[in-house]
Amino acid sequence: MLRLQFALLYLLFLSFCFFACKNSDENKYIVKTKQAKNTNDYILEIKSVKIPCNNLIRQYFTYTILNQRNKNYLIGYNPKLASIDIYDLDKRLFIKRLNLYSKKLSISNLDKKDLDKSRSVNDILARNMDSIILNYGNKKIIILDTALRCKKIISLDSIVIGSNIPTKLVSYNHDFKMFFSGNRLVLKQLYSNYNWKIRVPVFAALNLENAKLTNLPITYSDYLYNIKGNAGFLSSVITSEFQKNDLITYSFIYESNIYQYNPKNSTITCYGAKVSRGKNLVDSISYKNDDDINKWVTHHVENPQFFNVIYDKYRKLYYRFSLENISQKNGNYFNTILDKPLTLMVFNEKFEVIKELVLPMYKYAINTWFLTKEGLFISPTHVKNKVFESSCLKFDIIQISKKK
Amino acid sequence: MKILSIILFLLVIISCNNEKSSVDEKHLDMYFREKQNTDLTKLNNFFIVVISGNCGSCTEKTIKFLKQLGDKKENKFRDYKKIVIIPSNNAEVLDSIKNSNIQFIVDEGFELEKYGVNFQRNAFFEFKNAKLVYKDWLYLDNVDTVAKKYSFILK
Repeated sequence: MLRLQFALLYLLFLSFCFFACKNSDENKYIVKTKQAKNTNDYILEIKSVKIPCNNLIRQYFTYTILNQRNKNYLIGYNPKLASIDIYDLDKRLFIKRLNLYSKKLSISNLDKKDLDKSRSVNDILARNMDSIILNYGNKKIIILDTALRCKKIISLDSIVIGSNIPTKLVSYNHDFKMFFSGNRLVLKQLYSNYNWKIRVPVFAALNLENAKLTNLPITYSDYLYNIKGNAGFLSSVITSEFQKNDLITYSFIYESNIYQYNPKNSTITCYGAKVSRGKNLVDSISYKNDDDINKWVTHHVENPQFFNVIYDKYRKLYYRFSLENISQKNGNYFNTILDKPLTLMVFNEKFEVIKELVLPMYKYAINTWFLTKEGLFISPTHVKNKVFESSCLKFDIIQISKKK
Repeated sequence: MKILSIILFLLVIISCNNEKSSVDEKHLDMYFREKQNTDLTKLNNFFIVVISGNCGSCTEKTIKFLKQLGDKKENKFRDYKKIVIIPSNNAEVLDSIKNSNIQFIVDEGFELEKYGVNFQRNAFFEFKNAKLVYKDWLYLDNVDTVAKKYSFILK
């Protein structure tokens, strides 16, 4: 009897230690968040717009925004038509379709379903209409103009810096989006057989003129090193093309902190950006070869997911979307990542919270957001939102302004 | 006492393994009853293949396997019903497997996941007398293993 009591007490003690450790991780790694003093000075409005088109898809997941001569263009990759589609966002007009199977380009066999990223346009960026940069399957950077003339092709395999650890340069629109820092294109370095014992740079800046690659002193955060990279599907570093001049803002999908690198003095500042609902740090997850692979799916559903940080140069604000952790089991049924509430946080330039708002369920598609002078665009085409008009692209524009 | 402990331990292990199989059975049964108006217990012998929505799930080898499974001239499994569930984002694969005796179910709106029938890899199930007797992954070289078990030749 005494043994049983002892065993129960021991179990109780272990459970206490387990939960204490979880909380202490959050206390240790998540930076305190500051509230802005003038939150009531801001108002938020949402308006809906439509752009007539005939593109067979509900939304673009690989796209860029070009601001040229004060006009805003959406340049999106359409996997179903193997094309680059260009829209005038201000006039709400479809302008042009560039066929990627043109003989002028050496692109073939693209995956229509856009599942196989080695046969896809993974990322797009544009300096102007004469310089549209495509990342083709993380194999080549192709620079072309709107007449489909190929200006330059850079093989990504041929420019990797000599290193003891094999690396590969990658970028993905929804994850580490390539962006310009000065004149250099910033990409992510991916390491194979990485052991999490030594810190290695994750960001690399590519000079498009001479294909010279330079490491930036940015690594994964302390938490991912502490858990030896065991964050399941949620272990990425994420970036946005909407950057404040002379700074690089980045974050990690697995924690709510936001980081800023200043290339002038090589300093990194970490800001707290906690969500008030749910967890702010993803739990670690171990995986052995004979484990059920669905363990990662459960982990994905039951942990938060933080998206890229978008700088709004017109309003001097930052935006960050995130998905809240939920329980996978829902009575006899199961929740999926599609059932996770989407939250938008708005910060001032000191990363003090101005607004935190939970968006309506099953309305917006993740990773469809971008910024223009009009505001923050997001596509109301959640997979479970079955209202689909094939003849137009739809956006909601979230506009934050100061009260007059 | 020691022998009793070992027997108890083995019983626990066996019951755990059975539980995993029965969980898959339970989820499939609920999905078919509620979404397809089909009572699996009345089907007797059948194969179910659940295609994953992930990249690389519909490889050439998997398509060859499905063609063999649905071959109308094949006699060995004549009395088996063959069902393939495929997520809508992968449904274009159906174009490659026309004229077969497979019943294809296209999962629009990710309903499978709601019923716990979501796998990161393609899953293959054999039911005999409405009981799950075999489960394996149709994934990379494992397709060969499953094909060999059923004497399918992946030409």
